[in-house]
Amino acid sequence: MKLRYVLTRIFYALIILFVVISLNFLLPRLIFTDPAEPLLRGIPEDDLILRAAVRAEYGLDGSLFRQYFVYLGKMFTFDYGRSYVYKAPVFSVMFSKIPWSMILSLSAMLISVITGIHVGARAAKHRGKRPDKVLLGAATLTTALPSFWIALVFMMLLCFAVPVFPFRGAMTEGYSLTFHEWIFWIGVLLGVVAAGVSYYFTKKVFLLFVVPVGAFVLSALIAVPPADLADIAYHSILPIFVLCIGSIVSYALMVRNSMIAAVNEDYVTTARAKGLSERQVLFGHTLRNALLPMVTSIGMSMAGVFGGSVLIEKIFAWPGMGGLLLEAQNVGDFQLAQGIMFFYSFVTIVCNLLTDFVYHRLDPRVKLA
Amino acid sequence: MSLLEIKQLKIMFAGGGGKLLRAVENADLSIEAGESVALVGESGCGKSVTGFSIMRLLKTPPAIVRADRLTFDGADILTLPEPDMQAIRGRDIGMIFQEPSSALNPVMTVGKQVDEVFLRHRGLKQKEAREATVALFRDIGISAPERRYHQYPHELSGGMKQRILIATATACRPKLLIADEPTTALDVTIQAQILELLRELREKNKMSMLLITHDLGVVAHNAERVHVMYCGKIVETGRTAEVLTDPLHPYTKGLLRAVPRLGEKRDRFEQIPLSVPHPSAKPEGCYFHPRCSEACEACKKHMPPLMPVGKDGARAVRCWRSG
Amino acid sequence: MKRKLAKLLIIVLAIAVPAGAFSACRTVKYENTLRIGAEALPKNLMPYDSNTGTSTVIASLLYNTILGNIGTPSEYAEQGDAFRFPDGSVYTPPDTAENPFLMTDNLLKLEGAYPKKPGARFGRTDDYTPARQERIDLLNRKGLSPDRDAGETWDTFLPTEAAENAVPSSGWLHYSFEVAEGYSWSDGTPFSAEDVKFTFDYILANQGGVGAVASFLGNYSRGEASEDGKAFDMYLGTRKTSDIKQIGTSILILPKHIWKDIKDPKSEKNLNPVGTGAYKLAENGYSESSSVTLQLREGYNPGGQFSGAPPPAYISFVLHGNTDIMLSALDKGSIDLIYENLAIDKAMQLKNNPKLYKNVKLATTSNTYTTTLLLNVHGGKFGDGDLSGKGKEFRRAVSLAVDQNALIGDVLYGYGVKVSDGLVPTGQPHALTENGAYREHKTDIDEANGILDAAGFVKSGQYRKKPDGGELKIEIFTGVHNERLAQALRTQFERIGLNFSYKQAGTDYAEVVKDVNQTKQGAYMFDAVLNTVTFAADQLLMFDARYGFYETANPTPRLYNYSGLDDAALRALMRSMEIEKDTVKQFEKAKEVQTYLAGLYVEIPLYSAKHVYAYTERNFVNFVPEDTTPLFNDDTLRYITQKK
Repeated sequence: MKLRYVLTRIFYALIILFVVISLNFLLPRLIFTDPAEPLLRGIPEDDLILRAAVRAEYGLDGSLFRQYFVYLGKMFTFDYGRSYVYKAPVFSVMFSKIPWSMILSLSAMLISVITGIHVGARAAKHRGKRPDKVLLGAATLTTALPSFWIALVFMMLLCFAVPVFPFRGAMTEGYSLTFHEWIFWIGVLLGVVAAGVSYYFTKKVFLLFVVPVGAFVLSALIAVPPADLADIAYHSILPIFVLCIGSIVSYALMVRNSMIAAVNEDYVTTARAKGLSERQVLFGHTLRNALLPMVTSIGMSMAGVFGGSVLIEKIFAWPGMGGLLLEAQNVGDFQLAQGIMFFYSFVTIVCNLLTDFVYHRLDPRVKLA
Repeated sequence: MSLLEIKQLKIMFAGGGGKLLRAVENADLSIEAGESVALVGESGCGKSVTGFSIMRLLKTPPAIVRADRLTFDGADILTLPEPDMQAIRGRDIGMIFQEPSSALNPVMTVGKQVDEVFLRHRGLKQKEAREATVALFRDIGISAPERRYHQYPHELSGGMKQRILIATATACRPKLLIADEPTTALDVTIQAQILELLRELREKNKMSMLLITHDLGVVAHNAERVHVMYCGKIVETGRTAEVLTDPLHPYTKGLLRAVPRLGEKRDRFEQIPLSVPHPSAKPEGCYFHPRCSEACEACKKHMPPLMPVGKDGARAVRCWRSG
Repeated sequence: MKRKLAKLLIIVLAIAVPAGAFSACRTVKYENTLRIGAEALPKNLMPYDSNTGTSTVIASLLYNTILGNIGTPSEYAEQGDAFRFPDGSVYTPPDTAENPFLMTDNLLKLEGAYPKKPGARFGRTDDYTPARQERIDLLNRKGLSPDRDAGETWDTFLPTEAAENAVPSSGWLHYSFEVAEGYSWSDGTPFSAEDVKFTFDYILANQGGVGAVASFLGNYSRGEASEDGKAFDMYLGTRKTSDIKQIGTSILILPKHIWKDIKDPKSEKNLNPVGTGAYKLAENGYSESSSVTLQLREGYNPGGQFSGAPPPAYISFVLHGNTDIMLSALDKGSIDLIYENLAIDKAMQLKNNPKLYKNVKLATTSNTYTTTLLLNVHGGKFGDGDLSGKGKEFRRAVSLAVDQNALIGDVLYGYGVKVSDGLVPTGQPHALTENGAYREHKTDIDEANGILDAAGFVKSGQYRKKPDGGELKIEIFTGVHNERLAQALRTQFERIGLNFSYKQAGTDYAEVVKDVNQTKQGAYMFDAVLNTVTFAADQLLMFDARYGFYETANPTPRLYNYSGLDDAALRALMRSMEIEKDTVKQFEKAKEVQTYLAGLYVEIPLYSAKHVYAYTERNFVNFVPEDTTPLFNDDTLRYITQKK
């Protein structure tokens, strides 16, 4: 990939990021009539000095312009302020909840993608027959039925009627997670080193991404005692299942449609004419083209992976990022709201950028405009 | 025994609503080793389908392929198990297609696509296959073969892509090459190059060729025998020179009349009146009779058989009036 | 394909079964636990965090106030001139003069008492003494201040005032407490009066960080702890009967030995709370976003509160997804009650389908809020100017058109109580009565129509017009949760030919109304507002701060005076009620206030909604709802026992 292309894209992304930061400044101030109100509760109205001090601390004093510049300054130094409800920096509040969300959304995405490809390919192969009809029927159902309803139905069935799964939380009531941070960081470090070493020997770029991520996940798993791990796994089965239902169907549908289109392409005939086996044709040619739209789709939903599903997390009382924005708004914690909104936008921009790069790598027809 | 023998080939499609579309009816065709035979006709007459059926590339269903005999090099194509058929494809029979632009996988380098043939049929390793491909490119006359190896189809011209496809099809020196409209999508100068390339390859590898085309000009210099097809039926066969100078079937006559020649002065192109009937609505009797200037009563009622003409059995015609 | 499915199933089972087995071995951690389902949990255990209802009740279980302790009723008995507090301490007023609420020499005792603190309420004037400040504050409350244009300052102003009004002092400024026996902090440190003094000073010094209670200490001047830590003396700056109760039951006492080191309470999460309450945080009891578990302090019974069956050994607040899930959990017995009250329609659904959740029971409590329709009478609107002098007639007709029974039935599905024009719901001790019976709000459509006809509000088509012929339209301003009420009102007002519409504010309309400068929908821009009025069932806090707004005549709205009401007679009546020392006489005064207020027809009562709570008796019994409280609080806890 050309360096100039990469740099141009990054440059544009930075511009968008700047616009987003500015909009992000405005939004909480539009949502909350007086963002400082919950902070000032309890301070008598006549105590102007203290009120002014509190406002200054949260960047809510002075004219809008002044606030904007102070805010920009803070953004560049990565100071996202304090959550007055959590009594901790916004940064750490968010980052303590993201891993929980990711447990659900990342697992759900992995399972959905793999299963979706299989189901979709099968439906495309047997177009018009039972596998295809089942998929289309399922698509209608899962699109029409809201996800929280499906979640509640399964909860009623599998948690209350027949008590198989727990219906709330990430762990059994009363237990908290013990996380050995040092093990985790050592594991990540080893992973990064391993990535570097393997790249040096094999020159395969994708290792630079895959190995650290793999090490990240593995270290996280090792740093948790097995009892806690089992507990979390058990509690996450039902939420992941519910998340998968909709995802699998939508990915499968996408794959099915692009496979049907791809299968009718001439190059598939050429591939067959070369004497390749059906399997080779499928994996080497058809899927490689049919899965391109899915790459975009996955890239776009990565922001959601970090952010978590608001509905599912609320229903299962899962301690993730999903409900955080809602909570922040309910309580009037505007620093937190601001931080979360910025985070979502930032992740979207970055994922967008990465998807562009990856897609460009996968589909050489994309022009380097 | 001929390299390729087709007797009474019938190809039908199960159309919507329970209708059966007869794409090819009772076609006979044979190709000897080293021979080049042309299959000529308008679009939709069934010639491409015939080519696909030789390689068993038609999806059955919806296609239904029947024949008294369909053998290649002694092997019965119709009953061959799939793995054996896959072995034949690409190694013993090669095929090239009409649209080179869409016939190559857009997300793979052309080099890798050719490698696939070597990897599959010769059992070479990746590195060896690469060397073989580059050598093949050089043979075919593709300039800067190492650079081309890493390029993607959308970076190449039409002619270049067709060369690559020819390379793919002839990589393992097949005994038979089926060329389905190989030059239709290319401009005239490139056409000549491609046809020249094909001629070279046939000479070098002693390769037979089934040339499927609608362009009589191409047929003239590139095939020894020609079969003319109309509405799924072979209506005239014979040596190219004979058929083109002295056509017997009114359809062939019409086709030749329609080709403009240099030096001729004409106000209008000569057309064959009306148009080709839809496969689901073929007329009674001889399929050509509604458009034929020489049609008679018998033509309207009875389909003529393919009747040999002349002494050496090389010529045959399906016409009440000329047989 | 079937093979692939089978493989998948095996993988899932391979994870699920051992995980499940492992997890199932983790039985619920605490025995004899009262489990309470909640939709929101506190993010910290600061005693004054009020962001969720559960944070308040948790704080009340962990900490005590000086008057209200767990296990004892919060009223205290009056015995002649002395008050006996529940913890055993006794208060005797220093003297019993006739007129307690005028300037006194007593203020001299406060001189030099309170240190000057930047940012603290008492540090504003330069030549500062608390005595002086008290005088200034009192004068402000009376609406008197120096005429700056005439060159007056507080210095020139005060002496005159003081000279005119000097009278002997009385009590109600100085309170003495004895520290009761047996109280200790949950870490073992003994409790002393030093902690009380420390708490009040700390709150005043850290107003931004410790929450809204600083305002309760508005009249607190200073406190003194005796050397042995067994006695505490408190001095207030002004006399209001409600002050002692406010301070005594709202301020949770903090441990000095721990909080003296907490410099920045704003950042403090207090995850190892130390309090004098009957409960303490269980080991590993705080699991953020999951549950909070409190443990009974073994053998701790200082006031003898827990006589009879002991309370639950553990109390756990557990976060759940939503009400339906909690109801199923309740039915199953994995929780014992739901902390938040049920939405009215959910309560109706349960009442009508008792078989839905067989083990779920419902309890009803009354509410501290009255919902009213507040008419804007500022600057002549609905007053005399706008309606050609017929404002009072108009408002009276509007009041007569309101049918409280219909509203309670339609909007609340019967879960409500009627309210008299005095704005106090049925059943409260200071509710307006007539001949011993509750004086009900009067509804009479015919009379209303008659009044409007006679006053010149002529009907033109469907709706009436103003007496001067102008179009008569009323638009209520309301939040989203009151839409059904607004619609019901519209139907009722159509019966007297009033064109009544409603407009929903996006955010909390009370906030919008507060600051005129902020939005166009500022105060006085509306015709009428659906308002809520808080009163307190408790004798001494009736007509609390909510009615303070009647005191001022400022053109800009001050706090809760949305209607712009400015009535000198009402102000005088309110004042006389506030300063009345004798409770019986105070009730009479309260009734006078209500009667007068009712006659103004500015705030028309609609209803007082009831709250419905869901609980189950599978594990614990004796859930006794008390008036005006959530079903579970530190008072009702003393009745709850384990099922045998």
